[in-house]
Amino acid sequence: MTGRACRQVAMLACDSSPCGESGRQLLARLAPRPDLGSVLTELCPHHPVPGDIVEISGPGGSGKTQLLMECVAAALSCDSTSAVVLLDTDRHVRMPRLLQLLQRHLPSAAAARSAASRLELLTATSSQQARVALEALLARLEEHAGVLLLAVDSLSAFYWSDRHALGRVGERADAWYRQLGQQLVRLAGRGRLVVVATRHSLSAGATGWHHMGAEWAAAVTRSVCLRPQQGAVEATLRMVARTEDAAPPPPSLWKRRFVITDEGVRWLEVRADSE
Amino acid sequence: MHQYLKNKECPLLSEDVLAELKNNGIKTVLAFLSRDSEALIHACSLTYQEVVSVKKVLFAKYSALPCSATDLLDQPSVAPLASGCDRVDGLLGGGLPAGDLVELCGPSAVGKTQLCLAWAAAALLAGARVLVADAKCEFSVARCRRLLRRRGRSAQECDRLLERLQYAQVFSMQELLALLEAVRSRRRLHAGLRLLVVDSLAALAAPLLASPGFIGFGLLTDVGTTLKSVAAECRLTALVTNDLVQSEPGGGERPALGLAWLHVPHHRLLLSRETSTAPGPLAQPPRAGPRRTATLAKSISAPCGTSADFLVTGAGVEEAPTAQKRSAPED
Repeated sequence: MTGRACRQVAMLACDSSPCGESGRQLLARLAPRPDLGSVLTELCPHHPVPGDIVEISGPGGSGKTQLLMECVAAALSCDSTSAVVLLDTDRHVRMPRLLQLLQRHLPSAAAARSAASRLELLTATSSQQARVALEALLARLEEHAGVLLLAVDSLSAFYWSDRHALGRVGERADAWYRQLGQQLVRLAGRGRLVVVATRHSLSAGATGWHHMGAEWAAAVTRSVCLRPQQGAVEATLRMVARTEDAAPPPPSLWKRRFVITDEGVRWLEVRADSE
Repeated sequence: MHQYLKNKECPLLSEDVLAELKNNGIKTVLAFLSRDSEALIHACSLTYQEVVSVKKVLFAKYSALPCSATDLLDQPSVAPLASGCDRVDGLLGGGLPAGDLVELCGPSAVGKTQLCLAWAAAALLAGARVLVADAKCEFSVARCRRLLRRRGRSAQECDRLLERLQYAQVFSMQELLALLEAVRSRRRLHAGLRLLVVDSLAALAAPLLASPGFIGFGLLTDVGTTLKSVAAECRLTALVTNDLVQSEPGGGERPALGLAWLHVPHHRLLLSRETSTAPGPLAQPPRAGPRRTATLAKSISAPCGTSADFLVTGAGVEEAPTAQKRSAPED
């Protein structure tokens, strides 16, 4: 027997699941995913499906984290077993606020608390911690079969710190962030998750520069740009029709306005524009 | 940034194994963890089980801290820290919220340091500790003592209260970071710390922002991250002061320190001061009046755009009377 064959046999012998995955894990992986239902229905009429990547961008204070928490609350409420993983790099997420949003979807405080218990919160104080946490998720996808949504707040919290630190060792930040984007795309695909991520505006004006790189920008299926405007926030949604969509491609651009109230996000009107 | 693989991470990572991994381009923790286990057993002499064990150790050490939402909900709440001026405190939902980073932003002599002093005195009166990182040497402990005396405390009581105020002069971002790391790593020593004041962050960071290699923006991001971590872990309020700058010629004013800082604080109070022109036959330049206004420009928990007028008096920060009932303040 060759050395490689010996190692493969040893791997099968020592692996916690010697036949690759158990029957429970296989069923969990292949089972139909609960419909995310009202997640983002206010933002677009076509529900996000597993594998979708939603990016919410805008200047500081425009409501990105509030919108993200609405998505988390909606995902936790759509099913009694649905789970959400929230990677927090910005420390703007507040659990009492999430509980308040859950109580709007669910019939009782006890139900809201039970839904909150299905949220796994990962708090990162550096981008290395965040990326290691994403690798841990990738490595244990079968244990997270019930996770419908991966929320990331935000993708750019450590950008300047990373750019300075990487520059000191002669490396470029764009390669680091391109790899971060690849991790999220792999999670969305292999984990059959919806990924919702916020991103701060790092440059003034509409320069089109994206610190996550062109590959990430191309992987995003729904892009929401927020702009504070006259006491409200204008959300511009751009949706990319996926090639596997059976239905005709929807209008690809919507503008909606919302305000943030004590009860959560309140949408003001919808205007669909086709490009 | 990059954590390199070392023998001390795990006994299984011997020098020979590290050399083998290095030869295959795997030098960092992230590079090791992102490779498939089967690829790793081909890259070094570890068995599959050993690779799994090393990965478990590295994930436990370097991954983001997991926690349950219900554990956070079950934490006992900490009352907001009130300054004594109900209208200003009302902008933030009753006072400075524990666990948050609050920014006071405004031009020079608008009352940023006076507000910091008012909140510091309130924290001391509540039996808590205060840490002040003073970059401009404008935070007057003597003024803090006078505020405590005005609240009816005897001289001996004031001295005892001031024992709980720790004052540190910082002259660089690196010194500030070292101070914050000391608070974070020696939490037992700083038990009871409720307020951490940095006056002013603009004075420390602004000289570095034009430096090459993005060192200024990098350090600013590090300070923001550390302030928020310390505030959350120690359940205190981090209160920083910042200046206003002209955004563009002829344009409005915006907080200093650029886009890199704009999204960092949880709450931002913009302070402004009324100006008045003295009447008379000769043209006089506008003078700053006594009335100041605090406007909530950004908040994660309260409605933005609300404002409150206040005065700075001998007793600290007080509500400004309504326009019909204006009286000369004591300053």
